[in-house]
Amino acid sequence: MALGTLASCDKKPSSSQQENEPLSNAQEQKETPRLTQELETISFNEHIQPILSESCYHCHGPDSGSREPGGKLSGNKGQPFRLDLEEFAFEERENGKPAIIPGDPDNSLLVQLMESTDPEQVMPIHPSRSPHGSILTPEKIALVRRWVKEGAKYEPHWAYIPPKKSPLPEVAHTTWAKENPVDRFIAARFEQANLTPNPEEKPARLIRRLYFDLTGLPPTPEALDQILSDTRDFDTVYRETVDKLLNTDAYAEHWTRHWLDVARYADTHGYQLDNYRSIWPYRDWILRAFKQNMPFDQFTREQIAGDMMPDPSLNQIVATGYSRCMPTNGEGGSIAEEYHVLYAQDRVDTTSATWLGLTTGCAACHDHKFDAISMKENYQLTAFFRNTPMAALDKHAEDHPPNVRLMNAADKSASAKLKPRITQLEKQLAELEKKNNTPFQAWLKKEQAAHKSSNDKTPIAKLLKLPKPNKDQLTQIRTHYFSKVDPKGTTIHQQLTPLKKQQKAIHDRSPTTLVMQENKDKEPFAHILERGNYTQRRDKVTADTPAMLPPMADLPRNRLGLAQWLTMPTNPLPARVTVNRYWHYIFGKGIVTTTGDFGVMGARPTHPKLLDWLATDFVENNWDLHHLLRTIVTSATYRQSAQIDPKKYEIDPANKWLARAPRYRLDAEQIRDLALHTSGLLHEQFGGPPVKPYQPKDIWKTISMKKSNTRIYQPDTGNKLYRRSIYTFWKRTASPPSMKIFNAPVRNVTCVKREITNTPLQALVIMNDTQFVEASRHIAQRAMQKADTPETIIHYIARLLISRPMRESEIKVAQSTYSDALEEFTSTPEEAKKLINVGESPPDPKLPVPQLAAWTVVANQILNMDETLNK
Amino acid sequence: MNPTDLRKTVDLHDTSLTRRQFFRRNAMGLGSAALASLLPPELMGAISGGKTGTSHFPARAKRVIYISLIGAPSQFETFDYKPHLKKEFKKDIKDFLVKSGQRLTGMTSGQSKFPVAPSFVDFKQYGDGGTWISDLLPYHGKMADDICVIKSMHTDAINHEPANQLMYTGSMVAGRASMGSWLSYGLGSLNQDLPTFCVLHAQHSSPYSNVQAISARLWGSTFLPGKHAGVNLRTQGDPVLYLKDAPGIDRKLRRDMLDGLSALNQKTLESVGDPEIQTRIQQYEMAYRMQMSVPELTDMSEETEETYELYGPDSKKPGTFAYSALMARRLAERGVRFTQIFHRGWDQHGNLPRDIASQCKDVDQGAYALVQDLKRRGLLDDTLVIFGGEFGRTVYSQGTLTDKNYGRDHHPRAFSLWMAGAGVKGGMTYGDTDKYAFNITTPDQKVHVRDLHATILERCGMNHHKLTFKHQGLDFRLTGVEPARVVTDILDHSHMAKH
Repeated sequence: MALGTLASCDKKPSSSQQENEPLSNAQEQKETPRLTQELETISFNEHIQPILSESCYHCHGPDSGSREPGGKLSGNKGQPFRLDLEEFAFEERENGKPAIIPGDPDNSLLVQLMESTDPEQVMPIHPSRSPHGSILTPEKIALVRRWVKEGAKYEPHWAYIPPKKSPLPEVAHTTWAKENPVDRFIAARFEQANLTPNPEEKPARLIRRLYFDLTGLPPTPEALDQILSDTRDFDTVYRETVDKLLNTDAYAEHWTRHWLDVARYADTHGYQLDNYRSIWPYRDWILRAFKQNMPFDQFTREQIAGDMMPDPSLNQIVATGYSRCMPTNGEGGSIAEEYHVLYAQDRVDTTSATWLGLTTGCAACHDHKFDAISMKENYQLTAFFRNTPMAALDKHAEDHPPNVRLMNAADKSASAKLKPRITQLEKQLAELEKKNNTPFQAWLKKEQAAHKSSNDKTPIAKLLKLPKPNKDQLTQIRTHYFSKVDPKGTTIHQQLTPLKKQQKAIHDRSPTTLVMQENKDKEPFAHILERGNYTQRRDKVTADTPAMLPPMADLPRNRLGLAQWLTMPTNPLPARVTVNRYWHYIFGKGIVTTTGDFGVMGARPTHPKLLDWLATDFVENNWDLHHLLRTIVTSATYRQSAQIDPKKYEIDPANKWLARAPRYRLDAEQIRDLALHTSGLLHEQFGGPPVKPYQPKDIWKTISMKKSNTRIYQPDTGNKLYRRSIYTFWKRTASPPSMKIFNAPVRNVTCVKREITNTPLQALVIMNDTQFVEASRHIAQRAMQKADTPETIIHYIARLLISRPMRESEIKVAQSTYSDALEEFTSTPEEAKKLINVGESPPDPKLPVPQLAAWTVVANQILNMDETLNK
Repeated sequence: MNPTDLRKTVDLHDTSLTRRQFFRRNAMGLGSAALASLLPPELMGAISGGKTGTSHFPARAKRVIYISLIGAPSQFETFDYKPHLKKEFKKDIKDFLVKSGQRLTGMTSGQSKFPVAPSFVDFKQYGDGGTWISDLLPYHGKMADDICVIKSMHTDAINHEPANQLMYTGSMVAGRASMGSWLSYGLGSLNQDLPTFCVLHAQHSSPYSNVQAISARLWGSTFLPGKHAGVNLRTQGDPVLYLKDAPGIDRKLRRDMLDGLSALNQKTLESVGDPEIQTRIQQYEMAYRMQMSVPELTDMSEETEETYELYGPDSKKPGTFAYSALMARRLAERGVRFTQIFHRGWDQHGNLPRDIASQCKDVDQGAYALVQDLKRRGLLDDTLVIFGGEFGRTVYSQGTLTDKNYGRDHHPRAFSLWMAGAGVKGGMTYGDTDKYAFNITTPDQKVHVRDLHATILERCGMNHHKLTFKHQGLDFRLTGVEPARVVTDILDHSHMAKH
């Protein structure tokens, strides 16, 4: 049973997590509707559907397999009742009346059962009768009653209604919400909550935030000075800075990093041996796409179906690595079909979460419990990805086909010339071997006799000493004869060897990358699998998209058609899901907080009209990501200070209404890159094969199989130790530990939203990891080279790390740490030497040892400051 | 926390500071993550509704030690005694297999014959319960009355990777939270200085053993908050990654640096007002404490010679199973909720007699010693110990069969493991299998992996239906959507008897 346990998708009462994990999980909980009397109008989408989906759909929703009555709970008796769709909700029941009578709650069975005080009767089912039971609050029941009284109007699920630009709301904060539409929508909501916006963030901190959000790196003190000393209007300078940053390599690297989470990119296969996989050229394709600001619709289409475009370029084929990024297995004894099913499902799950905000995986085993996706539709989606000659088992090979080899133009033409020449010489050699077999045999006999008691230790002598060489050994002897003894063979070999060497050199510097390929002679299809079990095939289905979304019409029913369908402007989801994910990356929280679930069980948008405005604007502007980001980061909303006022905090602790800027910890890669950048160690190189920076010993070895080619972690040396974190080698079964500790996902499955935790292990990384200790010393060195008094040194370190000079009271603290450390290091110079020699790079010999060591401690202290680690 | 302090753990239900009082004192309303770090864990429970973690009824187990034998030990040479197989030596059971409909792995599906391989080793009955145990596990014989052997385990998977994921995360497909992280999430922490879920990797001693890979997936937290992920306690290098201070930094200097850092962060807190800053200050303090408590944990000099004798000579060698078993006891004493020992090398497709003997020798005495040590310290009453692999093995030989040598392929329909402590009935053997240990012959006593999970949760005071976590709009459970039952037959008394 392959997928039977894939998805624990049904809805059960969940008393536990709200109690236990209020912050991390409650954010995803939908807001309980306010008391019914407070509401002017009742909306099905906003107020009623959350109640029905949470409490009723499990038994009265889309899943025909668990619908009641008529199911397990009612002893398979009765007429099933479906509540999620209008067309079924008003059907006549056994008593001749529908369960919902619009305008008449008293006679509506739905309301009667909800209001019942009899545990045997009440709906949802009472907890005493079933472990799945729950109790509705009186407020929720009152809402349902009022909804029925007002006519029980259904609405399509909000996310499936095409977005449109609404008129910008009128607001009181007219000077604050001047021209950027984002601010109008935001102000409208925080005004409702009686909030006023924070003032604009201090310029230096704002620029630092902007740099991190757009490039993943902080500004250099020099760049910052230049911006702050610009005499023109700050707003103009700010906008220029935005445009400048959007066009940097660092921007492309930063946004590629976000995308690699989505695409579950890694450098190993992921299962069992977890061998190396060569797919980094796909990562470089993403880098280049961001660098040239490729429109997001094209970006989508090329990744989904670049190989199927008319006359595809090599680049377009490389882009399809997207569908090759999931973990694959090569374990002996595995059954191919099981994995074909898994891979197709993974591709559907990833694509759905990324572009559609749908949890389709739930429909692998049963009709979706909450969203209108049937099992059939899930398998129709998998069909798009199954029509490929790719073998299910990867044989642990780095170039698991289909693949392409990437060569530069010169190599390509050289290789084309080499190939026939090599073939020709090899053919000549083979003919010669055939022709001169008799002399070879005679030679062999003679030599064997001569070597019988020889003490010659050369490899060939050893082989000739053997009385009965095996096949391999005989081949070696033959090769020796025809390359060194036979005169004609020797000549051929002399020509062949350098050609082969050239060919190998070209081969070695031209990487392969895994890509998608379509079966030419077959139409895509799949089978519906009973409970997701690959051995239990039911109906055969062809490729198609879910019925609740706009039809594919005359698009081809293959990946190319899917790619086009995903970017049709009439598809209500992809643009919404994308702008929401971008909003999430900037504000730390999406307008829909469940960034991968826009379904019925997902969160409702906090600002639905803003989301729709952004989505529409995005498509109108040719899916231009620069335009989207520019709109967001130039808004007054974004430019607010992150100061938390206790009164405002009380009204809006989760900062849902954005009357202040968000404040949250930098991502794993940003923290490491910050240390490398500020220390001057960062080696800027755009793209290329993955690198292996410092890592504690034996992390790979402990968990790897002996035969794995990623069992031993051999750190690189030189520049490769200091590349941006996006280039760090990603082994799936043991992902880079310092990244994982800061919540980088493992990349086994798609990740559209990282968690942010705050743990002691994180403190240990920045205090003790070689990478951070070495960087701290370089920060200290830079400061000592630039400044000469303790005070100016501290200022310089602070300007590198937090983009501001230290305050008087802070200087005192840092100075006290410095003098404590200096005192200690002066009395134990050996210890000081140890500290400044951490890492591969040598310390600056011109700087006094105890002082450098002491400033290293201070630099590390400031590097560890909350202000440093936060945006 | 000293080992002896464990008994002093605050009564979680008897706390004088109520939720309301707490909030009144903190009018500013700190974020709950901040609260979590400011408060002792027992008080956090008070805030979140009167209890720590998610206990649904009184827990029988305060902690769990899971000995994971990766690669799947053969039941024929350990706990499932099939003496009559000697009479069927080499008998081809191809027809039986075809009829069973059991799918075979690609490793033996091409074999033309499927000859019965009797166990090369004898069994004896031990203890008052008369439990049959193989001669490869003599120390197990001595504790037969402490353990309950389940011979009727079964699983859905036939290959290691999916089987291990099912066993340790509840799903054959990657992406789910591990069992240990669920327990950490549900139970909360008993010790602020150590992780709630610790992972130990014990090395196998035979150079021949066929070793399967394992990955952090088996102890990851995926959608559960990251603090519930298992933390590797390593035996080489730092026991916890990055624990050791950088070269040249001593404790005093670390303290000075942290005092300054704390003062700086305090100033930021005052000016910015973000309660998360308070949390960060606390986490740095915990890091500092861990730097002391973990070395104390791994410094075994206080252990007596008598204890080392109990665990055997290997227990002095870091990285061995015996050492890990002793470490597991030390973790249990210090309130770590879930300790998982991974011991690899149990995948005997060939040369089974040689390799399984060595594997058994690796773990036999250590497992025995762990149970005895817990018992004499009064910890076995509330510590659940589990010992087993991810599936069973075939009765027929993979590859050539002689009277001295054979191999066994994977088999999902029946396998054995044992549980002990926390009210699990000792001296008991539960469930039985047919003459080929192929099918379970006691339909009422089948134990699916999910049933095992439900039972472990039940011992820890949790109802598997109710321990849920919302992720992407869905409620996830360790036991998934398929029915799971608590195996109440092997328990002294269960609050979930009716489920």
